[in-house]
Amino acid sequence: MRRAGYVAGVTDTRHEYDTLAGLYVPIGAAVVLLVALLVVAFAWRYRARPDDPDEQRRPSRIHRAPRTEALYVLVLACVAALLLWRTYTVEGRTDHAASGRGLGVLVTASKWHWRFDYPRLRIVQRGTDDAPPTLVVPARRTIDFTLRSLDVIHAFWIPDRRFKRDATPGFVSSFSLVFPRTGFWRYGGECSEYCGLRHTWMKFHVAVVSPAAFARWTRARQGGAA
Amino acid sequence: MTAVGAAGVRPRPRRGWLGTLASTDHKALGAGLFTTAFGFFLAAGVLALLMRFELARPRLQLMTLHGYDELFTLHGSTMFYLFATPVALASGVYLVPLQIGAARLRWARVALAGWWMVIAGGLIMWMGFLTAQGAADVGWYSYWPLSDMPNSPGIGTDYWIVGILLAASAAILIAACVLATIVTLRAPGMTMLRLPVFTWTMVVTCLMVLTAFPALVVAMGLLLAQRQLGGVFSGASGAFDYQHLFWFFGHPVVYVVFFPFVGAIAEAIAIFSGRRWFGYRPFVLSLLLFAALSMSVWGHHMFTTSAVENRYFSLTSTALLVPAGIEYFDALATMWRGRIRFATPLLFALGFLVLFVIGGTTGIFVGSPPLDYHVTDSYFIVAHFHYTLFGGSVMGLFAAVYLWWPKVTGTLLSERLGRWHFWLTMVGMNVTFFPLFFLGWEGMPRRVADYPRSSGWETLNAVSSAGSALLLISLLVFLLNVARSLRRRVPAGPDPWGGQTLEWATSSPPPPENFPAPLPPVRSFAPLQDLREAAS
Amino acid sequence: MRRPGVAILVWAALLGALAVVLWAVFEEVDYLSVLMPAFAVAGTALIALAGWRAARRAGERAFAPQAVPETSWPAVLAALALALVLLGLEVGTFLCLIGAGLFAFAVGGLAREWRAERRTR
Repeated sequence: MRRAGYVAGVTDTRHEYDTLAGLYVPIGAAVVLLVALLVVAFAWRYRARPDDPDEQRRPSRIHRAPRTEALYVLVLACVAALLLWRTYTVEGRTDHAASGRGLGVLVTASKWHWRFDYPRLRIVQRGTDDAPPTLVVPARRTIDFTLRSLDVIHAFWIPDRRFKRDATPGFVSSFSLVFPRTGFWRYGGECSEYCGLRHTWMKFHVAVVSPAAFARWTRARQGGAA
Repeated sequence: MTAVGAAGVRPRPRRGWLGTLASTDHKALGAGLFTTAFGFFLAAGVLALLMRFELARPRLQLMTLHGYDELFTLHGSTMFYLFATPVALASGVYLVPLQIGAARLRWARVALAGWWMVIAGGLIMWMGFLTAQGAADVGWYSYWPLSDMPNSPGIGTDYWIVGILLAASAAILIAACVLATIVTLRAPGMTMLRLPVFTWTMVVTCLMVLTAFPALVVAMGLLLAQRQLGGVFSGASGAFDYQHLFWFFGHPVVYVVFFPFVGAIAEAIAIFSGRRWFGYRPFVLSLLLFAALSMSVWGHHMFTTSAVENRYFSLTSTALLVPAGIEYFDALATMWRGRIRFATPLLFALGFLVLFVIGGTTGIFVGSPPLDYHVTDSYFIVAHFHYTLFGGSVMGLFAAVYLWWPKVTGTLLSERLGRWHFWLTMVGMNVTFFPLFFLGWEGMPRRVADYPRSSGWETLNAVSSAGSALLLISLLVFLLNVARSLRRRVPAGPDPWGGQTLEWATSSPPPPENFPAPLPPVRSFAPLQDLREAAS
Repeated sequence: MRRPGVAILVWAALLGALAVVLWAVFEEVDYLSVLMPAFAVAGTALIALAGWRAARRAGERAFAPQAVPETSWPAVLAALALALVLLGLEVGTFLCLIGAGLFAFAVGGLAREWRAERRTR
């Protein structure tokens, strides 16, 4: 039995993102609404009414409230602490280095193409200028990515996984992802770090298939290559 | 060199139109720098309109990929280096001596040279459009190695670096002048804890320019050397070093162009609420903390590099909500039980409060690395920083313009056109930038000229582009208001709003020596409000 | 915090405290993350020191007569000459030389202004 959010020991980045966003977004929206409401309410409530003969009101001269402000700072600090505690907890899970036991995929970024190597399966996925390559992965299995760049800085982004990592030339980064649902994401992967002329079109497709279908695909590719 | 220069101390030589270009009077200098910066704002705005026009529909309609790259590079660079920073410092050059009761700016010739360095730097940067390979196309932070010669051979990029070197050095020089003025030329009684709120924001702004901009000068100097000679940066460490150097400047600059406008809206809210700014001392302290924190968050631009200590930069970035929260508390508490008059400067100040909080909360959102992993370098970030820079800085700038226009020109702007300007900006801003949050969330990367038809992003992009047209109209209304005011010249008088600080105690526009009559006594940060409260 | 030097020192202390948290508590600190905050703190402390010294003499200076000339073309020329020197790095050495010459000319003009000022003090 899997725990919610976990597949094969590696965290589901999308699930983690949604959980954390589920804390940040309501707090943020509440703060925005509260500020907007208070601004409008104060502006209306304390507006000057020069045409109203009854108005003898003089603006308040209170201009400090140190204890209230100290209390308020305490509340702010508590909110910050809560957000940080949740962030650190989640980051501890999403920043897990590659487990080393999953399916290894070497991702190579270069101007302006993606290339996916499956070293143990001896498969290479390449694209052309007009037809980007497809990253084919089995569902619900840990994929250990190794990411590198051959020329400038690119960034590997799969919006559906809510995850991205920079590909810096001369630097190899490793991370693990899982893909719980099968399906085909047209242009489901993108370069998100501006890398020059054809950055706009530096994309790839993502195909998540069942383990059985992946085995069939592997055999077909190996047969084709042999 | 000319007759005037050598003669030096002739009491009141005739200056004329030409003389204002070399004037050491901080008012002519501040107004000149302000106008220069505003011109660059309009130019960069045109580039933004062209980009929004291109993005209104998928595929390329108007330009090539390369042309688009030039547009976003020059848009961002012009906005930061040639508009926002100079306009923030220009406000200080004009207003700080007046607010602290000084007759002049310290080291005015240095600031004068700074103004001309901004002009020269801007022209050199834009000269790139005239070269064969076009203007710089490396983005406003021009990551190495993309910005190296083999990847970006165009000479436009070299011009761009030279332009930034000039503009950044100018910012350092001008900030030194403003800070020196505050330190040495305060009127009797004007202690540090009686500086007006706007002047305090200029203190921290200048400190940040002096400590953060040198990193930009170093980064650009090294980049130029790398492009011309090579051997400066190499490998992954070179790439990370460049990012550290750049963002050590690149985050503080956002606050450099923000704090002065916090000061401006604080003055506007205080004046139009008929109350002095609430919680002055905690505000000053929070401002210092705000500035120190903002110098310590640069690594959050590098969360996805795997090369920085994410937890530290997440800590400092999230902690920013504390000083920001204090500022909101003080703003609302100033309005509380006030007597609020809805003049245009106040409208823009309230617009600032409502819009900036959206930029601020989304900033806390991206301060969390697991959330940032998804939305960084996407349109979510574009939306976020436009809510801080347009919703914050530009709304604050317009609050400042409407507030101090009568002081600077001696004439009034039309309140009716001002209200039109405000509401058009408010609607246009939200229509333009709010959809971008969703586009980023759905996966649209920044700095792309095209997007797939299958993406389903057409509607949101079309809405955003329509909003940018509204922003254009709002700006035209503003320019109309300015032209009308300068033609009709309705006299404003020394203090049309019921100001609280010393600049409202002299005539509009102020005479060359600023305060011919004796200054009112300075016993707090709002000396004119003291007099008013003592009288009633 | 009455004196400007103190206010600036408070800021340097805050900056320093934040940098120390980075250096002491966290592990992955590269050399620039040590150098840059250290320079910022040291620079701010220097500004504070200069400010403290200058502020002591501030009283008499605030009301000293305006000795700076109303217009200063040499300052403008210096800025433009500097721009030419930098542009010369791209366009060619000849522009660097022209810029340097104009810069020297501008400095000469500024020196004359300074001398004239000193005479009036």
